[in-house]
Formats: sequence, structure tokens, C-alpha cells
Amino acid sequence: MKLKRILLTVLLVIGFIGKNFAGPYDDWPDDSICGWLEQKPTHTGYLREAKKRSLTCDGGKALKSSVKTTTTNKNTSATKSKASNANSDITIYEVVFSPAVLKELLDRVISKTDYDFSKHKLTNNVKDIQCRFTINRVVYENSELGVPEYWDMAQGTINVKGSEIEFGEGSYWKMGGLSTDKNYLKDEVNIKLTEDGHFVGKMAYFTHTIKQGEVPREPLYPTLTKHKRSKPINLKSIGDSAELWIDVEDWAGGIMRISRCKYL
Amino acid sequence: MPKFNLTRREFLKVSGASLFLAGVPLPGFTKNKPPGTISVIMLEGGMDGLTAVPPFGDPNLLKMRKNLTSNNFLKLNSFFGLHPSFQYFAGLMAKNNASIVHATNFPYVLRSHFEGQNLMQGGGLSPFSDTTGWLGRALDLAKVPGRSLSLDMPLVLRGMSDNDNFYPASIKSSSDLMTQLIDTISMAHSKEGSEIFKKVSKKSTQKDSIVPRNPASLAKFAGKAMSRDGGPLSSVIKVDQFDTHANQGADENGNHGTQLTLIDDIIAGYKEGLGDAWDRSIILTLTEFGRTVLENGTGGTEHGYGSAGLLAGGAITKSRVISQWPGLAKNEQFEKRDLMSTIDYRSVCAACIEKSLGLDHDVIASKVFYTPKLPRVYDQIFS
Repeated sequence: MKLKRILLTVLLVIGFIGKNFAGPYDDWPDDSICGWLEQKPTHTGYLREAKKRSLTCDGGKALKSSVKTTTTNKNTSATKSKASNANSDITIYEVVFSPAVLKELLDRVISKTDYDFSKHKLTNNVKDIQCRFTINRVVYENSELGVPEYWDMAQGTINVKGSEIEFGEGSYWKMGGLSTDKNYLKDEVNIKLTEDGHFVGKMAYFTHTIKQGEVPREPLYPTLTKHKRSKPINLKSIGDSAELWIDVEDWAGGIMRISRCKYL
Repeated sequence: MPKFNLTRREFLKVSGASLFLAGVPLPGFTKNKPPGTISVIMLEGGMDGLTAVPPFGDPNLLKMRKNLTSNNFLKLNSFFGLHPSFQYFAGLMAKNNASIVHATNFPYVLRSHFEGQNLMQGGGLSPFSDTTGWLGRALDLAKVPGRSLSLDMPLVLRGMSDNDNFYPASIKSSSDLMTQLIDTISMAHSKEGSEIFKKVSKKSTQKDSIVPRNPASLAKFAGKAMSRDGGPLSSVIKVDQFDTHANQGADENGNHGTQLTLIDDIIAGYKEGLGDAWDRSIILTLTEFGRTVLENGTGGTEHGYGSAGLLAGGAITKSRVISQWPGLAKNEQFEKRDLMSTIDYRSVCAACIEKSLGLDHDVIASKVFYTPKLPRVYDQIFS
């Protein structure tokens, strides 16, 4: 009984002391301090509290920057001090890669049409030529050898300058949707001519027909290689037609048919 | 004119991004050409800086974000990593053309998308208090009024009455009836109004239009435009869907990781489009707030405070992570839940303006951001 009385007294004393040590405005929001300060600008209590919190009041409201500095811990006050102390607390964390990682990052191929041509012997002595081209689908669903379809997915002209290959102005994909943007045949093509008449590199390639109202599909970026079934361009007799096979997906690929080549 | 099937709605569905260009120098108006270009990528929804640039050196990171931190991050140094979605950005860091500012944001702590997005564009201290944006005011100070490539003029670019706008979509050839209609409406208006209708008429028939197909192609288009002599000095690309309250994911294929890949693609598109102009360019990301430190019960995060800012461009010559790291312990978090912002991101914007438009920091601080004592972080970023 006596112990209980002592304990109760101690708790009451602690509560009383705590109450007296807590500031009268401690639980007031910043805006309230600023609001009352607006009403009574000379009130020492409000002034002291605003100073204690480093508040900047404007029209009875605490500015937002002050909110940050007053509602948080030591980090906030550091931010505050930076404003007048030229960022002395900011640390520069230098970026350090190991030699192997650095090499991998610097060699990294990112662009969808980036291609390493160094493994090919590119032609360099061809006069400027222009050819007609079409792209046709080859379907592998029912035959391993593939069944060519005879409607054109894309058509137009190809210009060859040295080993550089560009699609001509009138060239276009006929697959609807995004393919109607002719820039795909300008900006997203990176193919070159090898000395034995193959096209190598990468290019945007549309696999599906998109009708009005259907969700557009992004193109694929197949790699054009020396396909074993291709009939390359005969650079000694450019009038001969050529068929360059392209592996695209498991179910279907394509044939780029080159014809009517002429020197410019 | 070619016939394009994409409607604006389809474009937005595909790309999820918008492009705005501004700051075309006017002949006889701009005395000296500013030294560089500035491009802004606005990330709406709140990008998670702790996912994008995980501070793996902080012992609390994995305790609080086990399911949100990729195991496959690229180690930048002994403290910070880089999310695997940033394949291209990582390459730029290796080439000393990219930096990161961490534990930073605009001074906004109330976690509202609307207010936060307004503040990150307005650049002031209170949302909806400005009718102009920080970039528009900077362009105005640099005396390079320009064109905004958009249907509307985003707040960030507002600041000069001479600014113009244009939306980057190909418009089918207008019929005679349509042309006559515009002319008729034009005649019914005052001189100023009449001029606007003439612009609409002219734009509807111009030939150098594009069909934007994804954010990267928008950035490439913007970069190409900015690389030309007399081209715009500034561009803004807006990307949304960073608000991952659930199933945020940790890796490239997660919801947040997919959005980070978009940023990476945009930066790659800019570099490709800018060509040689890359050397004098600076690109920076903005987001309205970061996200909570602790993951929530649905594998996501809530609206927070501090985040990370990504900087890229040839104007950067030394890659680094710039931070006053606040720590992730509960008592180190903002309101015991968010990553603290210890660097006012407006300082970063100011440094980028100083670098690209050649304005004095004190002028930028007082006239663009209305904060004369805004800290200068130019040396930390560009020295």
C-alpha cells in the first residue's frame, strides 16, 4: 500500500515536471505559429517559437521550405545551413568501374540497329547503283523449307553507294499501323553490301498487318546475314535478280527480292 | 502528303509520352547564342530514386526494400548502384557523360501529384502560385523566345508571350472547305486572333511533320531539331506511369523497371538525334516526389519526398553521384517514412540553366526560382 502511494507520487511529480519543461507551443503546427504572429507581431512567445523553429512566415503562413527544416531531424537543419553555406555538406561519390566492367560498358551496343560489320568483307568498289526491291513473307508453319507468299510486305528502291545501302524516297512498308511511317526505312536501317553480294546488318522489320483501329505493333530488328538460301547480287552482272533470305521469327521469315538494278 | 493512320489517341496509347520544344532564337533578337541546349524529361507519378539508384551501401536498404531492389544492379562505387534498366545511361556514365544527384527534390512535402507536378514545373515554393514555369522564365531571361511543340503549352515552358506551340503529328492535307472555314473564322477575329488562325492554317499544311511512335523517337526528333543551326535550345518530354502503388517490381521487367527503361530509351534517342550537338547538351529528369522507403503490403510504394535526378549530356565531363546522403534509418527518414531530400533540386536545375543558357546563378536564383539564396551546385556537377 505504501509502495503504491510512493509510486503514484513519483509518477505525478514526473508528469508535473514534464509538463513544465514542454514548451507551450510544441504541438502547434508551423502555420498556427505564423498565423498568431501575424495577429500579434510583438508577442514574445510566438516570436521565440518562430525563431526556435527557424520559421519564415509570409502572410500568416509558414513557407514550404520552412516546413522541411522544422519537421525533421539533423539532416533538415543541414539543408537549411547549406543555403548560406555553399553546399559544404554535399559529397561527391566518384564513379569507379573495374577495368573489365568499364570495357564492357564502353563496348556496349545499345541501339536496335547497331551492328558490328568488322566480321564481313564489305564491297568498296561498286559504282552507285539503284535497284527495285520487294519483301515477301516466307511461312514455316507447315513446311521446314518455308512457303513463300507472293504479296509484297514492302517495296521501293534501294540505292547502293560503295557498301552503304539506303532505301529510296518512294520506298514503304505496306503493313499498316506504325509501318506507314516512312522514317523506319530511313532512320532504322543499318545494312551494308558485302563483296559477294549479300546484305548484312539490322533493320526495322514489320511482321504483322495492322488494320485501322487495331493496336499498333513495334517492328522487330532481325539481323540480315549471309543466308544459305540466298541468291546474292551478282556485282559483275547487276541486271540479274537476287533473293536475299531473312530469318525473322520461328513461324515466318522474309525474302528481299532485288531486281532491275542499274548504274546511276 | 502521305496518309498516316495513327490518331493522336493511338499515338498517346503507344508512346505514353509528349514532347515540347522551345527556345528557337529569333533573328535579330538574340544577341549572343547561348552556349548549350537544355532538355527536360518530366517523370510523372513519382519516380522511385531508391529503385533507380539503390544506395546499397546503406545497411537499411535491403531491410526495408527486399522486394524492390534489383539484385542485378550495376555497382557505381562502394555506396550507390544503378538499376539494370539503365543500359544506355550506364554506358554514358562509363564515358563520363552522365551523373546522378541523389536524395533530392523540389521543396514540396505534401505528396499530391497535382501540387507536386505544378511545383516542379513552376519552380517556386508554393503550388499553383506561378503562371509561368522555371524553364520558360530562364529562356525569357536568355532572350530566346521559342516554340513549344505541343497541343498545350506546359507550365514549365510558360514565361514569354512570344512562345509558340506546335504538336508533332502529321495532319492530313486540309480540304478546301477546311481552309475556307479557317479563313472565315480568322476574318471574324481581331488582328491578334486572326494571326493565331493563320498559324493553325499554316501548320496544317506543313511538310516537315513526323509521326511520333514512341518516347525514344520523340527524343530523337527533338535532338535533331535542336542540333540544327537556329534550332530550339530546349525541349521537354513528359512520361507518366511512375506511380507504382502495387507490384512495383525490382528488375527491368517490373512495372517501375519498365518505366526506367523508357527514360533510358529517351536519353539514347536524344544522343542519337543530337549528333555533334551532344557535346553542348544537358538533359535532366524531374519528378514531383520520390516514394516511401518501406515497401507496402502490395509490393509497391506510396508517395514520398526525396528521389534521384538523372543528368546526361556532353556538358558533363565527369560522371559522379552527388549527394548529401541522409540515411535510411527510421529516424533519418522524412516524417519517418520518406527518403529525406537534402539537396533542393532547383539548385540542380539552376546549374543546368547556368551551363546551357549562360545565365548568372544569382540571376537564376532570384528571377527564375525566386530564391536569392538558392545554393549553387554548378561546380559539383560540371567541374
